Amino acid sequence: MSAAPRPILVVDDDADVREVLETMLSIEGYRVVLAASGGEALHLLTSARPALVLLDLMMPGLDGFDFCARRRQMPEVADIPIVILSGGGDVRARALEVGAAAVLPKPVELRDLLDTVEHLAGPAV
Amino acid sequence: MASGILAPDVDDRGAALAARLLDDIGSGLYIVTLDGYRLRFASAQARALLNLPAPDPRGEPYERWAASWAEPDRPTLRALLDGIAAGGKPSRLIHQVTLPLGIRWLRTTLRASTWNGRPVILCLSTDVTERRASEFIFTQQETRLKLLFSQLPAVVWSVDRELRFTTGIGGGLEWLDLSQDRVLGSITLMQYFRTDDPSFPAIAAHRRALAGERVTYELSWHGRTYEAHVEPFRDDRGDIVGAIGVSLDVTRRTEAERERDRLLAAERDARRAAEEALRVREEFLSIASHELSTPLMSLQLSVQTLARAMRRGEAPPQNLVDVAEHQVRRLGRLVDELLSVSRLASGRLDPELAVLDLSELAADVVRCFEQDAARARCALTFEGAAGALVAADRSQLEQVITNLLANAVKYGAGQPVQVAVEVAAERVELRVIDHGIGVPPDRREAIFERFERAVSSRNYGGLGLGLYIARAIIARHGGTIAHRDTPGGGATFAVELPLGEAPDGAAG
Repeated sequence: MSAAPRPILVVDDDADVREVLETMLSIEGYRVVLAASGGEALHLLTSARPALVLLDLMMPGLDGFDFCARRRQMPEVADIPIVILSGGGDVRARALEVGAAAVLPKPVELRDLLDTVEHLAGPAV
Repeated sequence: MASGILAPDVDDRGAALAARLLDDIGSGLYIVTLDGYRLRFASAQARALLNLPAPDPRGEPYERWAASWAEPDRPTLRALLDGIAAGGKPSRLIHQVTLPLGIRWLRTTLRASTWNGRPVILCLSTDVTERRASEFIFTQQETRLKLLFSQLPAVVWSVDRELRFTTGIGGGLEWLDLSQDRVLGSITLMQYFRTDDPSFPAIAAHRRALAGERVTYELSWHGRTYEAHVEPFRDDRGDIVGAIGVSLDVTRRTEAERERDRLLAAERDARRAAEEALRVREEFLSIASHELSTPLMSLQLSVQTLARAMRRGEAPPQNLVDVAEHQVRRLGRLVDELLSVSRLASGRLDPELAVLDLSELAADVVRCFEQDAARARCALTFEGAAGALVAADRSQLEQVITNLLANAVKYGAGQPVQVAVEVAAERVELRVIDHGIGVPPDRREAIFERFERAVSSRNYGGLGLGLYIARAIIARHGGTIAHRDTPGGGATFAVELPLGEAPDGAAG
């Protein structure tokens, strides 16, 4: 779809989750960049210009909500869609309010995740 | 010897004259002989007061003329007559007589005299019924007022312009170590309170009252609390000549208020504690749901990705098999923790003791942990000791060591972790040593509590139950668990258990 494929940014403090998502998305042909915290992810938003952000909410330091709030103040990356992977609790309303494109409750089905990624970031090359 | 309104010796003419004068002022005069106390003379008024209708009652015996006297007064009358007849002093008594008009109060004076040279007793009676009634009522009211004021838990006082007490009444005086004598006209407020400080509440209030204000203030004095009110005291021209005050002892009320405040505070604390407990519970549920769903997601995505690769005939990515195994262990530990806490809460965590070698057990747990330690880039080493026998529940001790190791690789990721078992005289010690972030001094006791951890839950995963469970288990084994600093940084957790007997003497 796009000439120069943009990566998927995976933001999660859990190393296992990052590893699984990276492996899974790579197999599907996506390029993946990883961030273990909200702060790291903010840097990668501008430097890597990802096609999509897969974001965990509960993280040390800058958490998922903080990350979304900060991104809103950065007009140059405001168009990058964010998919929130939520570990429970009723966060959908708040997540959509801070500008998330979608909320996927954990544990998420592989098919749902891939469909959402493809829908928002386009098919892998 | 007798003296008074009548001459010492009376005769018929004198008596008649005196009787007429006395009739005019409502008093009755009668004279009795010493011989049986027979009437010798009775004025018109006396005849009326003795209820003797005959115009000339001379010779009436005592029994007849004294019959009008009230029954209880008659012995007194007789005794007085006898006393005077024997040369006694004049006497006076207040008594009742029964007349056709009703019962009357008489004041009768008895004195010795002579009649034409012969000894007699002069009796002068005056009707005092009206006066007595009003006196009686007055006395009764005065008595009641006195009683009322003496028992009133209050003080009423007045002061002059120099703040000198001019009146002071009320039962409260006693509590203030004051008496009427001490108060009246003798001392000033300043002397009483032993201060010249114009800002002293009582003094300031009286000064304001002298300036025309009405002031209410509270005073603590002699260990009691008073609510006082002072107002200007004006004379009939309206000029302020002093101040009047009233104060009520409100010590009990103040105490009751304090008690009520104390109860309210206790209730507030209890409510806060309950709210805090609820908050901790909700936070725990939120953490637990995150902690469970995270490995579950990794596990599910790993398995589904592996299955998808196999369906497509592609080589399954080996790292996802490792991840999946790791998630299963993570979930197993979480479930163990939750089960242990639930058993602890219901008191069903009694260990099934058997003698075992702690070095062997620890070596097993360390082996199981090698993969997880490698994932956390921790070099895991173990150093056992021979003869580390303890009477213990194998699965419970496994859980303790697992919890300690899980903490060590979580908080000391990237740094070496050591496990050591040592045998001393009567005890066996197991240490799990990390070189991680350590435990701040103010958290060293709290980390063993439920849902507590050394640092914010948002920074490190886990249910916050590991050390709580470990301590509960070790305590049930008669041992101790303690935190120590690792030299050079990090935390060391040391478990001490009593040295067990050789297997042949093992407890079951």
